[in-house]
Amino acid sequence: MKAAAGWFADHGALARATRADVQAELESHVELTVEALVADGASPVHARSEARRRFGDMYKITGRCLAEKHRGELVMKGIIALLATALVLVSGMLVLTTLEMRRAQADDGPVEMVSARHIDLDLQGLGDQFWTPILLGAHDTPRPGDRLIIANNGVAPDIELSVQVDVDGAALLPELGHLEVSRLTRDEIEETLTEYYTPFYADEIKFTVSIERGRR
Amino acid sequence: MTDERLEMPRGALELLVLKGLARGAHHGYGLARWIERRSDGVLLIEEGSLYPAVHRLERKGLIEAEWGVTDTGRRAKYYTLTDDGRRELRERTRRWNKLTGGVAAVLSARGAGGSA
Repeated sequence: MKAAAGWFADHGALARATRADVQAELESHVELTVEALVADGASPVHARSEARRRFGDMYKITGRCLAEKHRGELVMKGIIALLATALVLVSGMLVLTTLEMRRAQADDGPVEMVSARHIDLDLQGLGDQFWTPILLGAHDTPRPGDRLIIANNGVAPDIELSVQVDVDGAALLPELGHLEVSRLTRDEIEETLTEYYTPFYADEIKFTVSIERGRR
Repeated sequence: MTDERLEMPRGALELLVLKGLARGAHHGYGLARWIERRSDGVLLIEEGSLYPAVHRLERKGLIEAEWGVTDTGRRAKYYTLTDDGRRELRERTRRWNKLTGGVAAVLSARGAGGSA
């Protein structure tokens, strides 16, 4: 970082020195013209004014000289800028392709039931770094494509899972089978799960459900 | 000096700068005046074209620059021809003569529209 800053500082100093050198050369030309005009009998004031007029746009000519001096450098900068742009575009396309493939896999595959721990690991995947899931509220109802993340108070680790809502608005759950969750709010889903699974466990079980909005 | 002053054809200015420097070191002002004098005032050297051409030749390594002092004690940047520049001058002169010779031959041909 320090080296890069040093390079930029040196580069800036060199560019300023080059510009000053070109300007000094062009000013010298004007002064030589003034000398010649004065030698021909013009007054110093008139000579200076005439020399400036004859010379033309000092700023523009300086710019053209600098462009000639740095032409190779400008071409190199252009190539670097082009490569950088291409790299960004290719990276962007790769990310989009990856995301699209992941989404296609999620949409086309069977309803998957994986553990919440697995989901945590999955969320650390590349694609999810670029997508923040939208969690729905207690009174919202899930719709096809949404994902339910089901957890409980530790009584039933085998029913801590993530499941996608299918096209019919149902979610496939262990033992319970297809539950039409699109007709239920989040609170109602939690109540339904608690009510259904309670008889299977000796301890009191309480479910919590998070709903991630689907990506389309 | 003639009344008709002509702008430099493309590529010719660099050739004339190289030619001017073949005589020895020159600053930009001196080069411009030398070319105008040698052409009897026919060729108009604009600073807006001269200096970019000079810097282009310098970038190509055909001429070298060094600050010096004029006869009147004024600071000025003097240019000299490099070995590459000398070779380039010979080659460009050959090509230029061939080109202008060809153009002249066509223009001097007898036929409709020509005065010869």
